[in-house]
Amino acid sequence: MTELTIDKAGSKGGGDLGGDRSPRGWVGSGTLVDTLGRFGLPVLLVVVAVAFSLLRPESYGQWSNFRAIFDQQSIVALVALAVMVPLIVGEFDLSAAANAGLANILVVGFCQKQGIDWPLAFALAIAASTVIGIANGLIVGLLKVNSFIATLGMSTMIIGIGLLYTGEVDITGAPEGLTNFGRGSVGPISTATVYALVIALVVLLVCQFLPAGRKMTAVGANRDAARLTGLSINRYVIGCFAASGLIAGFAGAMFGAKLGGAVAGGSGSAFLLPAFAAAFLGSTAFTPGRYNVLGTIVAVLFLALLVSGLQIVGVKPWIQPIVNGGALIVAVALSAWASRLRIANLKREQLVALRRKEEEAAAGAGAGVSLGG
Amino acid sequence: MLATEDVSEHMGGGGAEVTAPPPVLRVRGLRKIYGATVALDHADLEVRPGQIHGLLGENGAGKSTLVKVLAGLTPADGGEIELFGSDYPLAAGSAPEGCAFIHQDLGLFETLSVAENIALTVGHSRRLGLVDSRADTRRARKLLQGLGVELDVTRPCADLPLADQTAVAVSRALATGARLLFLDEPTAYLEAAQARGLFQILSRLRDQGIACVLITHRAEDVINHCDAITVLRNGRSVATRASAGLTPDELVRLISGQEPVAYEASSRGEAGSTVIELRDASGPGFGPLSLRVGGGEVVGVCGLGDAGHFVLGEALFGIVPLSGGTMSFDDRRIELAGSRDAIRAGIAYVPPDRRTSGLAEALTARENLFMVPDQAWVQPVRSRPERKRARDLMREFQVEPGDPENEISAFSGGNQQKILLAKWLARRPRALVLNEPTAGVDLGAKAQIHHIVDQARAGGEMAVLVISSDFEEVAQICDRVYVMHRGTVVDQIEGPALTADALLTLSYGRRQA
Repeated sequence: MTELTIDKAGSKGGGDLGGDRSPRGWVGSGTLVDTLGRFGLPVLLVVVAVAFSLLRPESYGQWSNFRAIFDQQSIVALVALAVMVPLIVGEFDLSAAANAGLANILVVGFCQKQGIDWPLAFALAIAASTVIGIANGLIVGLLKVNSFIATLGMSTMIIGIGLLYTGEVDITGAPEGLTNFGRGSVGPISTATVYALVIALVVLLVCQFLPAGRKMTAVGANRDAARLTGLSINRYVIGCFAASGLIAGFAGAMFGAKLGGAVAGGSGSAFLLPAFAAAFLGSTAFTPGRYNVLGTIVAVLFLALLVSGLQIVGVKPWIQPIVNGGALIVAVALSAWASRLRIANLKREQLVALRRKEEEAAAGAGAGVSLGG
Repeated sequence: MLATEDVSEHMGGGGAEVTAPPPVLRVRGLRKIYGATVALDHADLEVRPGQIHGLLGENGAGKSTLVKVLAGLTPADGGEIELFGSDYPLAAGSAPEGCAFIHQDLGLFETLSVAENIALTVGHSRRLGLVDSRADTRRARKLLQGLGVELDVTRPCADLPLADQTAVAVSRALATGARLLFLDEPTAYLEAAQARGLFQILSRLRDQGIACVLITHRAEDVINHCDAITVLRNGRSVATRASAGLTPDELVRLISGQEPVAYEASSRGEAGSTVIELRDASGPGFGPLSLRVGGGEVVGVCGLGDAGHFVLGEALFGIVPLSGGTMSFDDRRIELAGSRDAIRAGIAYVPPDRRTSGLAEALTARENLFMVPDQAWVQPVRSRPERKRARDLMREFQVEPGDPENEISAFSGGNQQKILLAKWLARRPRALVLNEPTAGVDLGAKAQIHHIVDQARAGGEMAVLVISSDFEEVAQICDRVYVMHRGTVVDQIEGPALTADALLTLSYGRRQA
């Protein structure tokens, strides 16, 4: 069962998005529905990859194609992680993609306009995005502005800041050092993919294995209970937004390094929907109902392999927004449907068991009488 | 063995009245399943006209499910329902005619007046096609007078005391022509005198032949005011009988299916050194007041409704700040800027509302028990040892079912409360503040929780402060009790003088005669 729990009301009510759930929770783990729910997404990923490889072995089925997809998607995956971290504590960050776009502008701009060495420019761009993340956290945590509104506003402001900095002119001609870094390889895979994997591992460790992750989950599940347990809610909210800014900044800076330039209006907005779609879709996998790193990464790849496969067999680019938007809706609908199905199955089992018990009791009573007679 | 007992109880109830009028409601073998949970297995219920019928059972025994099915809120999966002599479909989809369901929150529009509330349900009086609010007012006044209640029907409902609001809800139900009322724990938040007032209203209805099904946890409601009872246990009706001659112990045995856990406090020795002390402390809604709790002592703070005792409990945990006076802990003065400070000092706190502020329902029992893992931040949480600790704790606190990987929502209210207690006691606090520890907890679990509190005291080290409006509870488990009235401590009693009656009298701000 997936509760795409965004607000406190959702966590209390047991998930409005998750459909009607019995108040008594879940018992039947290990059932078919349960397994399908957990591993459906990775299985679909493999199916899509294999199916399109068989259809177009000469183009899609090549390692170079997969390598290119991994390389491109490492940016989307990072933005998806930037979106996922605040979701764990129950907050939206709609500014993550725009924030990445700003880091893209800044990393190239700092090199070109300010003449800063690229490694320092890279670090400064990430720092700027982190500051924006902290600002988001302060607005949400201290000023108590709903995160959806706060980050929507911030997202728009970031685009304005980008236009101001660039003077509404695209920047091109990044230094070779930067593009060499961005387009480099480590063995068979690209540098960007390696960095994305490393950051994903760190997020995985912190959010799913360290005490901090447990505390974040508690803050997301019931703020009052978490507060009474001694947790400082604002610390976690601000921390998650800061982490979101940091990760988005890295994504954007890396994108700038790969691109070697920047669009004045920011190039981030294209990442927003795939990122949210992946975070939500990912929360239906592995640990249903919880945002998780592995699920998010698998979801990013699934969506990318699907879109690229459809394009390779001849579907035009309009397919991409349709797949991403559709995935967002399907992810939520799917988890609701899965939970209803699961409830219905459990119920059927119980009814059968009760009826059997009654029949046995009746048979037993009959036997007792005949024995007595 | 259980089966024979049940049969005899059935006979004992029904056999006496031969010329009884036909029942208004007859439920047979009702079944309802939510997911894997059998909420109702085989529920029977028979209510006669003019009868006040107590529907009892532990949390999760199926009472609310039974009422939900009857109200047409959820379809049943089997069984028969006969209402006012005719069959009633199992998947009704709407409330049956002639029945009214009054939930604990009463369902009144708080900002609207009493007259408007009644008019909204039964239709506004009209004059020349327009709403005739004066006629609405007259009608409301007449309806309430019929129940023996005098109140200003033009006032918003939110301004009325809870007892009057309950009366309004009842009168509204009657205005729709209901002949069978369902009341869900109507006295849970009422003071004793107000509860008596409500039962006066219900007995008037009895004289008019209107039947009433009363869901309650209070033994005294059942024994003093009900004509008959039906007890549900694990979704089955296990007893139906007249309530005459019923004793509280018998009631507990029927509800829990076990012998009542005899509450025997461990020896009430000398209190150890002072752990918590307040001097002339005041805060929002209470004070100035002074109190002290020693190690190995269970001290109660009780009062009626809004006497300020709940906020006092919050202040002791740093949730609300003290505005005056001092607090000391182990003879050292402390100032609590938040619950973190209180936790660091060694205070544990169980809040009154476990659903909103005690437990995270979507998380598992284990995650709730160890919401803040007790380890360095760089050290990964290892689930296997944690699972073992959780299972041990759940066994120690008799939590059923004992699987720590269940989500909180899979446990009954009493078991949730035990998990909450376990979460705090596992940290071995120096002081434990319990705010309404057994609100909405069934009798069996309540006795177990009392036992847990007693054991916590038995160590001789921990100071326990029980804040409660349940006078029976406070008198039973506390060594010493502070009684609050309008924010201040009016008296302190202990020893043989400590009885529920004495506490009640004092809570009204009256000195004992």
